[in-house]
Amino acid sequence: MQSERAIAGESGHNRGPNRLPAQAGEVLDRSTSIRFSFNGKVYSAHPGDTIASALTAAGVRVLSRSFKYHRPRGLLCCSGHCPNCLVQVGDEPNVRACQQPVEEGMEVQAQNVWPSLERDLMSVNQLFSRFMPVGFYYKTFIHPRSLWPFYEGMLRRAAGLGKVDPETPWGTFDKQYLHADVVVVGGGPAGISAALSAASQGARVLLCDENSAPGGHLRFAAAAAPLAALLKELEEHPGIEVLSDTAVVGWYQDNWLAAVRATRLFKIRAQALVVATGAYERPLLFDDNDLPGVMLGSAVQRLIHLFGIKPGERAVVATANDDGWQVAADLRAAGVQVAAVVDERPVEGVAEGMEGVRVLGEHYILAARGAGAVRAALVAPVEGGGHSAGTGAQEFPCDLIVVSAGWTPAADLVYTAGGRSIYDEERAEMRLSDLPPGFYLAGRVSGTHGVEEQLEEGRLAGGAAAAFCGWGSAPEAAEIAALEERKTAEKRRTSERVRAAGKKKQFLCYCEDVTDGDLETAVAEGYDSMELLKRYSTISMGPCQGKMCSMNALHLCAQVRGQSVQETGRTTSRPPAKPVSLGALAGQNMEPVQRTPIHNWHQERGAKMMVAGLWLRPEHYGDPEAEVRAVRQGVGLIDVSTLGKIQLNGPGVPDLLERVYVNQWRKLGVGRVRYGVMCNDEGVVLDDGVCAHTKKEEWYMSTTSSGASGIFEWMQWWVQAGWGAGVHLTDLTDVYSAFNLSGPQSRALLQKLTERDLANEALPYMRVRAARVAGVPCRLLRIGFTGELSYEIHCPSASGLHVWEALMEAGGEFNLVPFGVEAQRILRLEKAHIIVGQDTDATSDPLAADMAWAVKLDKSDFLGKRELVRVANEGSRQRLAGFVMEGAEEVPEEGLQIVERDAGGELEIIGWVTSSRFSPTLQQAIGLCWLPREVAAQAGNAFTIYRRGKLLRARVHHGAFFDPQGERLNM
Amino acid sequence: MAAKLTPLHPACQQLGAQFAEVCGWHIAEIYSGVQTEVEAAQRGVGLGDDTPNGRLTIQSTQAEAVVQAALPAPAQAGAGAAVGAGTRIYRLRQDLFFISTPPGEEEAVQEKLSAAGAAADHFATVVDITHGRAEIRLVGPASQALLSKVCGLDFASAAFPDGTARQSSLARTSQLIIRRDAGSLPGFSIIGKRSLGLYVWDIISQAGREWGLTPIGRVALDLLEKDKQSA
Amino acid sequence: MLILECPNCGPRNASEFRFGGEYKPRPQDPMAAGEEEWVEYLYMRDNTMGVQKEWWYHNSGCGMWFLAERHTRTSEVLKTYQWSSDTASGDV
Repeated sequence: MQSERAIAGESGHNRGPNRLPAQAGEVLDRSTSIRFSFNGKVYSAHPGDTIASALTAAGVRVLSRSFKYHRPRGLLCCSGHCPNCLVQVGDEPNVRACQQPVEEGMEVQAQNVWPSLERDLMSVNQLFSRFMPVGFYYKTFIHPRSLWPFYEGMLRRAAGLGKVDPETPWGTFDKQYLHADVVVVGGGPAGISAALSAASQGARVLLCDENSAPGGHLRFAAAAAPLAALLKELEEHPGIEVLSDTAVVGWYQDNWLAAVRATRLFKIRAQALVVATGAYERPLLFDDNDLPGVMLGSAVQRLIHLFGIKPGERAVVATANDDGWQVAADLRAAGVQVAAVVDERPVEGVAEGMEGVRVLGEHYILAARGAGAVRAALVAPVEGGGHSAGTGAQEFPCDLIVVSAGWTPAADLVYTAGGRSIYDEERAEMRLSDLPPGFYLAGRVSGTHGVEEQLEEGRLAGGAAAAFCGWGSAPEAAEIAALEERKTAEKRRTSERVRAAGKKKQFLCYCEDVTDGDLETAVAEGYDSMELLKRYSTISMGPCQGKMCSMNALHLCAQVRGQSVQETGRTTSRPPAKPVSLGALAGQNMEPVQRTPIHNWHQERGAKMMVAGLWLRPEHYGDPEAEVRAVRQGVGLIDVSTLGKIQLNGPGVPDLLERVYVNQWRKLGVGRVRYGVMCNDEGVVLDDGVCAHTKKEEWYMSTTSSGASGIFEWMQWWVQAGWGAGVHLTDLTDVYSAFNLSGPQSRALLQKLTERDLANEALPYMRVRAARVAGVPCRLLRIGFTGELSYEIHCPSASGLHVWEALMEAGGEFNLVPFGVEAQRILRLEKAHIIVGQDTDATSDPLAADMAWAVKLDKSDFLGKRELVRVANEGSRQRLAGFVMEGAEEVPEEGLQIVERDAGGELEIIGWVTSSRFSPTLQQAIGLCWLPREVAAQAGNAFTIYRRGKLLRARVHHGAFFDPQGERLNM
Repeated sequence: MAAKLTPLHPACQQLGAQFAEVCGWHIAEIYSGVQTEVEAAQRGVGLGDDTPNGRLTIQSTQAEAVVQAALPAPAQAGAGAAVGAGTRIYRLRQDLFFISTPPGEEEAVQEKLSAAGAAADHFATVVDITHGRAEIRLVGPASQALLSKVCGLDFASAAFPDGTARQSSLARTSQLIIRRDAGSLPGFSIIGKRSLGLYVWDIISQAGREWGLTPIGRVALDLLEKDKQSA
Repeated sequence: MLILECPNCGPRNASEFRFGGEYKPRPQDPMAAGEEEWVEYLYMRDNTMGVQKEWWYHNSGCGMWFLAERHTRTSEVLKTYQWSSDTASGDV
């Protein structure tokens, strides 16, 4: 091994002095090697290695620096829970090195180090730690206020973990929905057993496990006997799907789960749920308990059995249960010298396989010694309740301190689902109760530690879950009772001790560097409930989200306050149970876009596209004012396929139209078109458009583009909630493309493409006719939003482009130009036609909006009638009116306020501008605005518009600005 | 009259499709080669444009009776009943049925339905919505998994067997999803607003990349539909 | 996530639906309704903490408007059903 290291050193990468011979359950492919770099240095790994295992194999012990004090930190839990191994991989910060498999060429950097992991200058912070007590930034950086920008810059540099690279390319994140009768969370023995039993009763089962393979603690237990058989059964069962590397991070109502695997978020709908998430091993509090070389027992077992790594040369094992003894045995088998096993409990005799090991019963660990890494362990006898001072302390030189002193149920999902925790004083563990329906527990999460019992509990929970969704029958009460008895007989596994009687820092929270002293201070300052303590000290708010610290914090708080753990309570759990990348939450980009059949044509002609609802529409093709002139003088064509189109059929349609529109419909003959306004019962304008009576018992309604889906829903509601007798509605918005051919030359142009007689007498204003245009059966509506002779051509969408191109071609001799939304806005403004939603808002009634001519208050009940009658009687306070600017070229922006000087000379807001443009036709700035009714009443009344400190003068204008008599429409 | 264009035409064109005219529609016939396309669908998932199919709706409180009278269907009318060669009837609501016809046959079927509707006691409305919809075809063993990435429905065969039609949210749009197997391969038709067709096509293309999603033309699709042994 | 049972399509994700507000039937003849009744219909909402009768629209699905009886605190849906002139008279 020595020579190998030398060679590796020369060639610039390290082969791993700590690698053991192949282990039975290891996940490595030793036949080949891959290379990666850590802080610029090249290391070798085997496929299957995680970043942390490969580095540990190579003898690297320090993986990161802590958040506040920049203390060196090494591998602690090796299970993806603690913050100690967070690294930056390429442009991705906060990757857990113990979970992330090594990939060829991966570039790994330590985080929170400056300038380097080995020599971090920020670690001087700990020398000043007495000046940086808990809550120090709330207290310190307040005064003087003027220095805040400086503090802020400093804190921003010091805070945060990892670096976000704004140049990072878009990742490919996505989501997937999964469905199952029974979802099992956790693939340990209990989870596997639950999955098998639920599936054997016929249920469709999904097993999610956050590790790279199912098996849970059996994968790294020395006695892995039943695992192979279980895995075989699991794999062969057709009713079970296994998702590895998949962490279930949230529980929501109706057993709806969120789970994450790498870049994918799963949304899982489960009928029933078995939570077999196991337990987190709990760290112990003692002096310098964060030194690299202090590890949890299960971490050591993972390193040995999964990755074939010798975790140290000489170890001290500190324990309070039999699990620690198993770890000691594993260490010895891996060739680690066990200097001592320190057990809080009395120890009688020497355990098998522990011959020659110093065994100290009724002792506990007081301190880790060393600078930068463990050099020795200081242990002392437990006396009088386990809080003795360091009398009789002994020091054991070692490079590894293994802690195995208890388990905290991994109950995040249980708590978010509303489950309660009850502290079992006897066992010093949390018990869970009050689970929601269809929610079952199995294994360590429910305090079951023996493998046999875990398998049995899994079997019962899986059976119950399957039965819950109708598969097979639930287990007998006697079976459950028998298991409970076996569980009760299990030995206590948790240390009684809260902390050591030490003199130095004992880290409670590794994420935010909170010590026992900090917590004590916070309680003394009055933050004595767990929720307050959490927010003030930030304990459990770091990347581990309390997995390492919450139970120790709870015990410590209870001790300091002299109350029970149950009384102290715990903090509320909220999803996600594990950190989730924002990319996974965002998923695949899904922003629906609606395109008309002419979309590509518009783009090819250089149209500037704009977003209108979900639609993309041409705003203009370069020069909107030229487009306006073309329509006024010749002919233009606009794509209005986005208009809402609803076909109404049936004998009940006239009644419905009378009710949803404010104007009259009953007498509208076949072939006629009418403009209509819709209100709600508040009398507020919802939408406008034309409706054509196309056939006997058939009407064709158009809505505004933006109102299309809303109006269809609105109509559906009235139809389905009582007004639907004899009415069928069909949304034809996408069935028909629509183009408005507009301008004095439109008739001549269109006549070239159709045999239908277009003469004014044959197809007058506000009429509808069927006609073939360019061979395609179309509907022609003669209407006039632009104020020019216009034909709205509705044609089947798949032939839309053909008709459009035929029009463009035939229009050559008329200098036909396509025009966009902007030109249309100008054209309609010149006619003082309103746009619902722009010139009206959620308080505008049609009487005030200058559409009194459309409101028929004498007809029978319609939506808005009662309120409109009231408005008609009382009069509107505000009126919509046209205006012309005195400065002909001054266009006030839409939304500007109209002001007046009050008696005191102060400017008072009396109205606002809703539409304004420079009219190329009139060479004059014009607009629409809301004014007090007395100002609006008289054409020519002057008022002022406030614009960036200046007052602009405008005059009220009544009616259309252009062609007020509408002669051009009736040509 | 010029051929009708599907909303997916620009996408098919970009993918290098050779087009042909089918029942008045300009439709992608072949992309990379019939054999390659068939194999890609058999291995993963194929994506095709089925927009030329005829599509009708019938609304009536007696819709089922009207449909029965016009298009006598084998035993169980309602969801997924096949009538004659390629016309299929799906119940969307008690009072609303959706009828899918082979390309170009929608007019004839509409006439039959309208006649039956006129003869019924309650008035019925038959509307040809062929032009208002994009119809995307997915064929292949990965089609169920692909759909589960863009839609919350359960696409497992037991929950969504051949012939099932459900309207749901797909990639944040409303779509009618029909399980229509092609030979022995699982397949789906995704029918939604024409204006959203290209968007849905793009989303599905992206979501299907991991299964090697391949565009398949009319010829390959026909082969797959006919080949009972294709899996 | 809340799962809602569309009377036509069956249980679906709540994201397929649009909430349509409390069930507030329109007075039969608005012009004849008393001021209090009219204001109650137009502007007043009970905002119950408890079971509420409310409108939902299956906008991603079949396009049906239906009524749900839902507990506003727990979001538990007791039942969903299509409107009919009978349900209109049998108020909760």
